[in-house]
Amino acid sequence: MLKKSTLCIALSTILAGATAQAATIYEKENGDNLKVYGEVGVGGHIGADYEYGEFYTDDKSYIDDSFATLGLKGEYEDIYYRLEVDYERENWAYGSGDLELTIDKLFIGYKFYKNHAIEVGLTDTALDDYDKYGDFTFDTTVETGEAGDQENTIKYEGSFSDFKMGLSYSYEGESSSGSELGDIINGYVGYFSDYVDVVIGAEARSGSEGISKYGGQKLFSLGLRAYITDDFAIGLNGYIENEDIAQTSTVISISNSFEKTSSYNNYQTLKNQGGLVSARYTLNKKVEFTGSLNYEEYEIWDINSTYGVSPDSEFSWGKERIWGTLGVNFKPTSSVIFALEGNFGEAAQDAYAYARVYF
Amino acid sequence: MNKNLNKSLLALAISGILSSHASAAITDIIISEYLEGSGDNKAIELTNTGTSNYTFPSNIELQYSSYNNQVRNPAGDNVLEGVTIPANSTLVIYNSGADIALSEAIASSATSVIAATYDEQSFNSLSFNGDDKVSLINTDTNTTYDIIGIDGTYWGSGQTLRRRFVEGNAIPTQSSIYKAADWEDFGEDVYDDLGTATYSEYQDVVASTCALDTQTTIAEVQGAGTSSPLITSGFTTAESYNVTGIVTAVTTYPEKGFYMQDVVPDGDELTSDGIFVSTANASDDMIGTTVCVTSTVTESYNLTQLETDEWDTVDATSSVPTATDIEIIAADGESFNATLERYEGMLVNLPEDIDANTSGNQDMRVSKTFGFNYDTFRNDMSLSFQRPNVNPTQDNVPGSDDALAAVAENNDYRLVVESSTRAADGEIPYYSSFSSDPANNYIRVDDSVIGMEGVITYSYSNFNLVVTNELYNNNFVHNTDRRSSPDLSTTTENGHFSITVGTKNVLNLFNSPYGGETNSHGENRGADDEAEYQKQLAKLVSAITGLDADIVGLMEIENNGFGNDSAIQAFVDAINEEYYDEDPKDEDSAVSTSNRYVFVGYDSNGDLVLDESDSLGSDAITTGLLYRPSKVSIESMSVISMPEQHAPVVVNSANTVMKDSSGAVLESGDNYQRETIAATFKVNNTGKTLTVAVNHFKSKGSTCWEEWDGVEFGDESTWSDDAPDEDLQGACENLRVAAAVQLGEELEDLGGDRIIVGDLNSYGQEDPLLVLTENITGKTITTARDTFIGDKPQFTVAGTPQEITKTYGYINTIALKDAEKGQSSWSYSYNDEIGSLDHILISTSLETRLIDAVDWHINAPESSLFDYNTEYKGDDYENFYVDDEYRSSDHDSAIMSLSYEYGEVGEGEPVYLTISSSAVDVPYVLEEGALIGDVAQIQLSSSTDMSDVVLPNVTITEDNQSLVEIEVYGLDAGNYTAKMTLIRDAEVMSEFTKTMSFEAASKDSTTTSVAPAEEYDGSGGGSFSIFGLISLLGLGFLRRYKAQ
Repeated sequence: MLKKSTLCIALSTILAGATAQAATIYEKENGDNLKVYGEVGVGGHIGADYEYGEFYTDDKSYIDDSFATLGLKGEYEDIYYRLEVDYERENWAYGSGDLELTIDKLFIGYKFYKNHAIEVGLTDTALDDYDKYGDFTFDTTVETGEAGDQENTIKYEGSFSDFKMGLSYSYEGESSSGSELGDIINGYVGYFSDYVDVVIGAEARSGSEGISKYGGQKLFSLGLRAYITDDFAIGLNGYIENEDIAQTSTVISISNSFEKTSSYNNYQTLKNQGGLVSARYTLNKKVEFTGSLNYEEYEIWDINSTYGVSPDSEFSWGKERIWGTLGVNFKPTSSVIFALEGNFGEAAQDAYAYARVYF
Repeated sequence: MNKNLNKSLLALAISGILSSHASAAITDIIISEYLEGSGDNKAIELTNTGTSNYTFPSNIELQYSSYNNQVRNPAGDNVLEGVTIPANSTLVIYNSGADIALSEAIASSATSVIAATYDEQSFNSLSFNGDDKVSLINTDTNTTYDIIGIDGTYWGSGQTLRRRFVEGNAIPTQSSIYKAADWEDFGEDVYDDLGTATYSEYQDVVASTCALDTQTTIAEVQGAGTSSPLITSGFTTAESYNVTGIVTAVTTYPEKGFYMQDVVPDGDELTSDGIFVSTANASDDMIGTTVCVTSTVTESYNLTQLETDEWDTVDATSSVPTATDIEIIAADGESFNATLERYEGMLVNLPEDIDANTSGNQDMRVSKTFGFNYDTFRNDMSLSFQRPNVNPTQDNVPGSDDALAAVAENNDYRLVVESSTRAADGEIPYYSSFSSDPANNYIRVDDSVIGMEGVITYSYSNFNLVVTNELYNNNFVHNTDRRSSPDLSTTTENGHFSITVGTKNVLNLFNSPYGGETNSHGENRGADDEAEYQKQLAKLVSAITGLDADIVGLMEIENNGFGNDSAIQAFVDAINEEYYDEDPKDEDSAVSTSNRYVFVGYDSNGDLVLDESDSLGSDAITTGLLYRPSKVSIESMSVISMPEQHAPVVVNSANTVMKDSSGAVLESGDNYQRETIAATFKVNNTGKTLTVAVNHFKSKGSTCWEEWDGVEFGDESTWSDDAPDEDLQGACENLRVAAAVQLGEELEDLGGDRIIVGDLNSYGQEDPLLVLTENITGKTITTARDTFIGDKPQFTVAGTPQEITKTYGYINTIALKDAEKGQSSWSYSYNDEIGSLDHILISTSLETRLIDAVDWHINAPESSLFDYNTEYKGDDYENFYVDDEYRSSDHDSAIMSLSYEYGEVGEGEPVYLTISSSAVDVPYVLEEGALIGDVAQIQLSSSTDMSDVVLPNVTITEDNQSLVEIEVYGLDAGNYTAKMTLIRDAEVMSEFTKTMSFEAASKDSTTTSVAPAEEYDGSGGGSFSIFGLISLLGLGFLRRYKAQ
């Protein structure tokens, strides 16, 4: 049954932009509606290790990851829309560490046919919804480096029987830190059934053409879930990415605030790949356990690569890292979750703890 | 108080007078015993023959050797100063490392003082070894009071010499002239008389027993072989021979003695008629006399000689025979040494033609011009038969049999030119007009030496000619004479023009001590004072203006930034002062401001300002790049990091770090080389670009790890031997190979037309050159181990040496043009071998543009006496300095000319034209057939505002004129399309019509600014349409994995 619920959430996300919880402001008989929804979450990374390049500071062993979302969504016949703002801590590498308010989604969608829709605006790129489909854990596993949310995006999503697919195009996309990426296109095709779900995805981007260090990129991903029993499921997730990264840069201007702008050249293709095996066991309606075994390999970590780090700067885990997670999720109600995820092996933190309330 | 004071002063004065009167004089002090024993057993006994005590003041020194080394105590002070010798007593000065038996043997009544060992005070220790004079000297007046021995002759090795009474058994007195007969030898390490004022018996000079009726000729002594046939075993004959000859020369080099020749030569050209007689008693008045010598015959370091201090003068009225021309005969085979062997000991002349059997003149050439010789530590000159010695790896594969044969030939052809007496600084003893008027009496490498006379001797494994006649400038024929500009062709086809690219080593041009910016990378290596700096600068300016290249790569300029006070700015400022004519109509004048240069700066700290905080690499010196904005415009610049070596420190079998003789680490394994500066230029009046990379590879002088690989140190922890150099490439060739690979790869990435200039520290056939050009030799070429680019391993993390099979196809321009001209060029002279270290290599894309390439021989052939330095040039050092280009450095400049066509387009790029005085000269290249009176017209189209543009009509001034420069006034910077037509009798001559797209841009300023950043190179994705992206999704894995 749980797998069906998950599927429902996924489908509703695709087609209506709705979440499981929302407060309805109004809803007309013809189905037009306006709802408010959101999320409040507190928690963070315990025993954070700066070397892994995932956090903004080396000074703290606890990295706060508090988060809040407030969104409006509505429908007018076949038109739907969403405005969502996030209040999030910029705790990632090169982030400020401050809580910042950002518009996370701002789009208008059009359901032009049954189970087929197009969205335009600031939204998740197509693959963002399924880049970690085979991962049952909460937060500390292999990340797929797809484009995430992007402005200037047009996205199609639809389903045919047990198959679903999505495709998006983003004009002049940006990285999470605001660096130019060039145009991005990504998509997925998924098969969903009672026993197994399989999603394959791909992404390509044109690169910044000398404006940032990011050149072209190609990424392929796979997500798989196998429902062994009603209580136990295992997942597989993985990706391969060829990403062009500039090897030379020259400062071309310095602003009054001493921020430097550079031009970039000599892009070289670096290969990254990662994968995980995950599992979830549902003890009861309120308690579930998750676990994963992760593998990740970035060419920049490889001292033997021409484009990798120097031997003097070799990372403690070498050119690849392996780690695992074990977690427990406690859901006192359907809108509340308390999660604790312990890490072992070559992980960026010892544990991740979180409490979230959805509304 | 005053009275008391006066009394005291008077008392002092009186006592001073009295004590002065009572002191013994220095003239009472004599050297009474000399001990040169095993190890550090060295001692000198001085005796005070006066009746009063004597205390040595600071200006009286005990000195030894031809360098007059002051003997010091272990603390570094004059060993005599303050020491008192009582009347009729002795003072023994002995080496502190001497056997204890020596010091204990010194008579208790004597005074003794300890002199330093070599380890303590180096050459100021008591370290004579039997061929050094020892003297007692007043350094204020340079007066030699007393002396024993003579420099350069082993008169005292392993001897204990005690002074004899003089005639009448009188106590000896000081003598500034050494006479062997005044001393008696008691053998090695005889201490029993040290510290006692005793003397040996007086000995009468015994007359010679030279029996005139049992004579052996010199020819018989010399024989026809390389050693005397009279010596049947060892190096000396058992019996003595009576030999008579005419004295041709008296010399002190390599030993004191005289040369004599058979009065009547035997007529056998296989046997020498001359021989050296070793004696300390020779004097110039013997020259021309006939003497009879009784002596054993000795082979002394391969020189056949007689040894005696006595002889009979047979004929005082004879005269020196005419010097014999050196001449090659068939019996010499291919050996010039065999030729010289036949003249060993003879008075010879160097003729115009040494080999009559070969067409043309084969003469002796200067192979090392007059200067310091580190083998002999004397100023001398080196000649070579028929050509200067060429470095063996200039034309031969390193380590090959051919290279080894070249070494052997150089050794065979060498004749060292020496003077009888040590040449004083700045003087050539046999060429007095050299020092009085050096500007007109210079001697250059490759000069033919004609009419030089002297005696042939052998020393330090070389035949020597000790010159006996006075020479004049007509004795030196300059085969490669001075030129005030390179002999470079810049002739182009009609409608073309040339671009010249050159190199200039500036020999450590440092301005930091003289008002320039501080150098944060090292100490001054250049001029010693402001005056020297100004001289250096003036010579270098002359060299740059004479070179007259449009682009110049610099080596060895101080690395003190790119600010207003940097060395490179000071250099450019000084050069540009020579170009002062601002009149546009004089644009082609040699002094036009259009010839001014600007340097390429490197904004190393990325603050977009060129200043003192920027630098290029971390050495005290660096490379530099100058260009003429009138000829080219900078498009971008980059710095190519060169490989460093970080190998293990060299250790012995016990894992102890090896040290050299000075106590420094023998080889740390950490070795560095200078960065390469590269700039891409737009060639004005064309659409072409040109990348020039300036290099200064790791030198041959200091070792890298590879030099010591395989050396068996055993348990030795100190090593004073040089590193082996079996392949003859000097040190660090493997690190230079790594540099060549790095340079080749990086420039390959830049692409386009490329030029490599600079000091690659590699002769013509050495490994780095083979890597950058081609390796058709089959030689295995290997990099150094553990090379890094920055902190990244260059090849593998393991650091394993890489065998390099990839070559980069560059063309060695000077070698190419030399082959066409049938000549050999060189850029550097080391010891007495010449070769090319400074190169200009071009990518094959430039081969058809190459007009000419030459070395400009202003430095390598010249004596260092002509440089800016003032030291070691004697009192008349000013005579040597002229503010010209000669010896402005030690390396010659290389220069090359390329041909470009006006209006030539590049790879889709418009023609680049510079705006000068609000006008642009648009080149209109005409096919053959234009006539006087035809009119060239131009039409322009552009999206740029052209409201102020004035389009002139230009009348053709000569038939078949090939180029019209249409001066368009009022153009703003921008892109234009020009249509140029030729009008004849009001009709358009359509066959002459041409269209050209051009970019008009401001000419680069002669004030350097940060170079534009390199344009996006197209790597890493590029412009994909949405469909391109979609196709990437599907075909992504098919794309090649690495974008190299």
